[in-house]
This record gives sequence, structure tokens and C-alpha cells, in this order.
Amino acid sequence: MPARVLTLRIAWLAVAAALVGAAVYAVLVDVSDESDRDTQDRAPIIQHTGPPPAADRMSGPGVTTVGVHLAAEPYATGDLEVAERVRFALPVSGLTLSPPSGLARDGAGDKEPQVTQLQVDISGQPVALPRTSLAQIPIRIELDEPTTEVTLRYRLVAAAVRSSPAPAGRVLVRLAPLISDASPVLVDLVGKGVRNLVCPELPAKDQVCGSRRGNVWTAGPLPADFAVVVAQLDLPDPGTS
Amino acid sequence: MSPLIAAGDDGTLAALLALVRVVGYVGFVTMVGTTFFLTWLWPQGRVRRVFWHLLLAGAILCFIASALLPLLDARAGWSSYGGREGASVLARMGLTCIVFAFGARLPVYAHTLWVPISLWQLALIGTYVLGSDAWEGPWMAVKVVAATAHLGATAVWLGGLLTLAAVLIPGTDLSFLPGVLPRFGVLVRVSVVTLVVSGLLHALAIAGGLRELVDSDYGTVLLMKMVVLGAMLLLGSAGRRYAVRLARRPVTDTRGRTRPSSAQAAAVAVGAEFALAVGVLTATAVLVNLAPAV
Repeated sequence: MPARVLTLRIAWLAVAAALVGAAVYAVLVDVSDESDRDTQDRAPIIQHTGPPPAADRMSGPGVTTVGVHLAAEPYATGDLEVAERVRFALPVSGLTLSPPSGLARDGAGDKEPQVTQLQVDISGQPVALPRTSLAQIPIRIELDEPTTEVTLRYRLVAAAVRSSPAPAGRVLVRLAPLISDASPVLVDLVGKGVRNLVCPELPAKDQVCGSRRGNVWTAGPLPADFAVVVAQLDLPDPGTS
Repeated sequence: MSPLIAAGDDGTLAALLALVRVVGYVGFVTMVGTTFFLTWLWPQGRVRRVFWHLLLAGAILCFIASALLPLLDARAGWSSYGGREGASVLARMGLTCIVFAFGARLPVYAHTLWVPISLWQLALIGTYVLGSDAWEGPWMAVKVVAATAHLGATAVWLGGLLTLAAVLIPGTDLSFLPGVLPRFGVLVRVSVVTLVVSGLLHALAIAGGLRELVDSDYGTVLLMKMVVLGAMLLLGSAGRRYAVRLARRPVTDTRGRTRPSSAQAAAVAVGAEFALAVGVLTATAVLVNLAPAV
């Protein structure tokens, strides 16, 4: 066999081995992530201070760069478990949390969504919260020391508006970060029932903004001023979430 | 019927994604079909250069489409190649590189190296199964087996058709037809039964039941796919009968020579069947975007 042919063959086999090796690594990382997520799922709810399971991101806005990463997962009731990770460009001494506006403002529902069970931590340290209802007014949280990284964890109640006529369990949900001082915003919605994401604040041609990867739908990165996402989804059956 | 605001409807991007998927499928069935044809149906044909050209074209199409798909789908740069879906395309690209590595020797030794080649084919099929929704939700084992069988049957049938057409179109020598066509006929019958059974099982498992399947866009496109498949079967059956008749008339008597027009007529029948097959692949690519939530 000519040396040139042999060299070429070895080169291609090396490329093949590298690609298959990369594939095995990607699977192992994925399995490891799923295992971690399963562990988190079984843990007591008080320990849930990270993002919801399947949307774990290792990089991107809110995680390694300036911006917000919003990850949400629906319950059978239509409520959403939300994790909001924020990285500011400069240290901030206080946070302004604005209540999310719901589809009710678009005339599609009869109730505004409410934020409940809010937890805030800064670099893993919990922050004491004022006893103000997030449903009514923006609240201001003063921090003991300036920070560039904040994590919020909360439940968004009454966020879903049932579509009608539609298959049973199909709803629309509106998502937006509570903190609007950081940009861009990346939104991950986790769940097998998610069907589509729309960004109504974007120009018409960009409004269908979701891309799917496994059971995670992603919108963005979006400019903070336009960071509103409406999701169409089929709620999980009771007892499955 | 569910609203048309189904998953992944994003105009140009969705169309581009479907196109890339079809190109990738065509490359995949060409690679698997050609090697299967040479391994099991017509080992004597291995000396023809057309098989190497087919294999190379299939590998190039599959490699490029596999590389593009995650970038277009996830739009997240290198991160697009992460996770199970990313792993599946990386593995597919790696397996495709084996074609580039062994070059024209691969078809020549297809018959003698049937064990490693069969494993390679199975691994290629596995990459599609790995990246599919067969791994999610209930009935996972059923879906994985059904998807593997479905892809395998598709590849050997459509790839076999393409290979047959590629031999028939340029040539006038039909002497191999009486030997190959009966074997190909058996392969088609087995493939069709496998396709129908595995396809139905997979669709029911994905949709979550018969009622859910019927009442969805996914069910509608699946029905369209079945109609095209039925047309393909009718055309394929007529084409093969015609080709056998052509081959058995003066051809065998004169040891393998017939009029170019006769060979081309047979090629047109096979080619038309393959064109319908591309329709089936297109419907499949659309189905990927419309898979209902479970």
C-alpha cells in the first residue's frame, strides 16, 4: 500500500476516533447531569436553591456572562417553578424585583400571576426578604454588601391561561424575569409538554423565538426590554410532576 | 385537530432544517443501502466503480448534514454539539469518516467483511436512534427497538432502490437482474412489513395512544406519509415486474445484452420509486418537527 494512502487512512481514522470519543464524552456528561438532576429531584425542597433540573447551563448569560438566565418548569397545576440567575456588569447594592405581568393584561385571563415562596441568595448566602407581596408592587431589597451575582428561586402561581377550544391541559404561560436591570436574557422552559415559544415584544418576523433541545425549549438571548416569552404547553398529568 | 402553531414552526429555518434532515437521510440510506446491497444481494457487482461513487456521495451528504443540523437546530455555537443529540451527530460523523478512510476498498471487500460492515451499519442506525425521541418518555424499550427496525428497513430498502437505479441508468447489461431482483423482492417485502409494524408501534408510543395520534398534526403528516408509501409500493411492484419481464426476454438468451431503451425503462421505474421515497423522507423530516408532547 502506498505511504500516501496509508497516511491518509490513518488520518481519517484518527478523525473518526476523535469524533466518536467526543460523542462518548457528550453522552457521559449528559448522563452525569441527569444523575445530578435526579438527586436534586429527590432532595428535600428546602435544598432546591439552584436552577430547575434539566436546564442546567454551564455557561451563558446569567451563568458566566452578564445577563439573566431564567429557567422554568411547569407543574400539573399550571404553576411554574422558576430559577432566575443574574450576573450584573457592576456590583449592585440593592435589587428591584418587579411583579411579572400576565396574560390577563392581554385580555386572555382573569387573574394576574403571583410570585410565591421566593428565595434569594447571593453567592450561596440566603438573603432576608421584606414581607411585601410581590403580586402588587415592585419591591426593593437592600443588600448588606454589593454583589454581581444573584440567584432567585420562586414559584409563579396562576401564570397559566387555559386555551379554549384546545386539547385538555393545553395552556399559555407568560414568562419574564423579576429583575430587569441585566441584559441579555436567556429563557429555558423545561418539560415534555412544551410546544412552542413566542416572544411578543420582538419584531413580527422574530416572534417565533423558541428552539428545542431534548425537553428544553430556549428563547434568546433577548434584550432585557423585550424579554417576555409566551409559551404554549400541555400541562403534565397530575401526579407526574 | 391541534392548532397549527406546532413545535418548531419557524418559517425559513424550519424548512431549512427539514431540507438538511432529508439530505442527511439520503446520505445515510445511500451508505447503508449500498453496502447492504453489495454484502447480501449482489456481491459480484463489487467491481463496479458506481458503488464507490454512491458510497462516497452518501458519506459526504451525511457528514455535511450531520455537522449542520445541530448548529441550525440549537443555534448555540459549539454548545450545539452537547447532550445526547449532539453526541449522536458527532458519532455519525465519526462513523462516516470510516468511509473516507477506507475509500474504494470498502465496496470491494463488502462481502468478505460482512461482520464489521454490519456492525458499522448498526452503529450508524444507532446514532439516529440515540438522537431521537425514542429515549424519552414511557415505552422507551419499545420505541428504541421500533426506531432501530424502522431505520434499518428504510435504509436497506431505499438504499437498495438507489443502488439498483444507479446500475440500471447508465448500463445496458441486465444479466444480473434475474438473480438480484427476486432477492431484492424478498427484501422489500420484509422491509415493508417491518416498516408498517415498527412505524405504527413507534407512532402510538410517541403520541400516547390512538386517539391522541389521530387528533394531532403528527397524525396528519403520518397519514400523508402512509399514502406516499402506498403509492411507492404500487409503483415499485409494477416496476419490478416490468424489469423482470425485460430482463428475461432477449437478455438472458443473448448472455446479458439488451437495448439501451429497455434498461432505461426499467431504470425509470426504479427511479420514480426512489423519487417517491424522497417524499417519504421529507414527510419524516416534517414529522420530527411535529412530534407531539407526551
